[in-house]
Amino acid sequence: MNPDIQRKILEFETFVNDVLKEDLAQLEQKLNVKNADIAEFLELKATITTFKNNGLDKNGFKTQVDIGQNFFIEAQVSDASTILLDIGLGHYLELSIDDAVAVINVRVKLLEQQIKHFRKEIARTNAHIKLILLGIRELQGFDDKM
Amino acid sequence: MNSEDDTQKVQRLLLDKALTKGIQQNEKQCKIWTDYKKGHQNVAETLQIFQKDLYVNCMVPIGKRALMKGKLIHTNEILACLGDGYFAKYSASGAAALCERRIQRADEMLKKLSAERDLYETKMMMIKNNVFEDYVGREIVEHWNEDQIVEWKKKHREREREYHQKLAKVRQEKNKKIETEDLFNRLDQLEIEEELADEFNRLEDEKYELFNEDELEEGECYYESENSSESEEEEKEKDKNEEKGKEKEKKEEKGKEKEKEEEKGDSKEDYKEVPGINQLKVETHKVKKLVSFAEPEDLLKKEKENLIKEKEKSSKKVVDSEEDILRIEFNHSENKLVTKSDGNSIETPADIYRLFSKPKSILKRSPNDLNPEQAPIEYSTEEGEDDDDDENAVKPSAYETVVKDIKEKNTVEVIKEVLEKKEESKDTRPISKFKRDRQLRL
Repeated sequence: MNPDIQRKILEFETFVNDVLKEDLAQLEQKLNVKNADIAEFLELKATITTFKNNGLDKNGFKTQVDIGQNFFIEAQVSDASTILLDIGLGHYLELSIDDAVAVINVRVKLLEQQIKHFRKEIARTNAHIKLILLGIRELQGFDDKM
Repeated sequence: MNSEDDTQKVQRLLLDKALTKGIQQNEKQCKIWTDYKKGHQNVAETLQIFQKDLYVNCMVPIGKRALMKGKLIHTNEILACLGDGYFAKYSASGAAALCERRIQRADEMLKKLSAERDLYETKMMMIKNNVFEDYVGREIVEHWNEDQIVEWKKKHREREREYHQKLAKVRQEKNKKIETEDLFNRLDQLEIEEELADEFNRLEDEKYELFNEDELEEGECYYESENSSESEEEEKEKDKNEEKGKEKEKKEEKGKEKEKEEEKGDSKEDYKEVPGINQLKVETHKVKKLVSFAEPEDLLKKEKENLIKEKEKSSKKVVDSEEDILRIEFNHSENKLVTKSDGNSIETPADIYRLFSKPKSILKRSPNDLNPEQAPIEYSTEEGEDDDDDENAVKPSAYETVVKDIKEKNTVEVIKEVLEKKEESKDTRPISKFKRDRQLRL
């Protein structure tokens, strides 16, 4: 086989293995993180709506708080009309429950967009990989129809 | 042999891998258990704190992303998870005890884990040092027949007999030698002792002969000399003046005596190694003292003179040594003292210290207390950079920054770099045919 072609094939292979597949792994990881985030926000939204529906925000409620290693102590929340929401980078913002729901909605929307973007990226990377593999096959002189 | 070596190598590699894996797992377990222990320690501490108050204000977590203001009530009522979804209600002290038990268990586990780690490491060491290298893979083979063994046994018996005989001979000879040598040595020793005893007796006899004349006075003198403190001697001088006449005679005699004694001393020196000579020496000293106290005044004077002379000499020496010392004399220059200088001019060494080595604060710098001279500059540069960043960030639309991930690297360049690297190491790392096929099938 032509040494030039062989060299080219090697380059393509390394590109697929060391660049594209690495990128793919990273993207998947990011996608997972975003999915987890969105799940958390949705859960929070559900909790808040249950608070509202049952009128707990005015009456207060009792709950069990984990103080580490699955040891629970009973806690009482007397005023559930405000909530401190994590707005990123370890900052918490005190919001009324209605505002919190609005913010959560925005965040969920944003996350959805990000997830969409990542999905697209992943698809693109996969396409690149496929394309290069096809190119390699052609270079090696195999028939297209296996 | 080659195949054997190869299999050995493979075996060793596998063992090595297994051991490293074991160590890694061990480390993981260690970490888990230490975390477990720390967690329980923390819980026990917090329980101690909560126990003191009726209620504790806290933020109640609602999910992972939100908190609510609340307070812990029933601080002496703890619901502890026993595992598998079962909970038990404990008092605070009971929960603390539970924590203690769990910590103890964690400690035990950690101990066991460390023991395991030790075992792994010793194994690794053994492999590295090839402790069993010489014995592994080699069987000990000896070629023997029954007949050969019988023959060998016969020969062996004969040889043993010979050996024992020789040994016995050697021992006998040794014993004989020792006996004869011992006897000779013993005889020599006895002879020497005898001679010494004779000498000793002879000396004592001589002494008696010499001292027999005017025994009384001699006794006195002897007594005085034994108490030979110089003050006493001075007191008794007057008494002695009366006896001087006699004493002169004695002196003559003692002079002779002295000579003889000295001779004896010389002769005795030959026998220094022998015990009992110390006594003799003491006696000779005594005799010498008898002679020396004849003119104690003169002696004292002489001694004093000597002392004085020595002192003078030493003082002279001191003076001489003092004269030898090099002396550096100096005067202060007439320049005026410059204690302080103004501004940034450097006139004295103190200025250098004042200008350059200012004390540094160990506190972290905050923008509020920056040096007035330096602060504005740094601030402006930082702001400028920030502005640049903002501009760069703003230019490619909000969608890019918010939705898309910010890319830190230019992929094209990375690809190039990777390819270059690969080209360099291409020859060393070819890809197997199977691998290539697999990739093609993807």
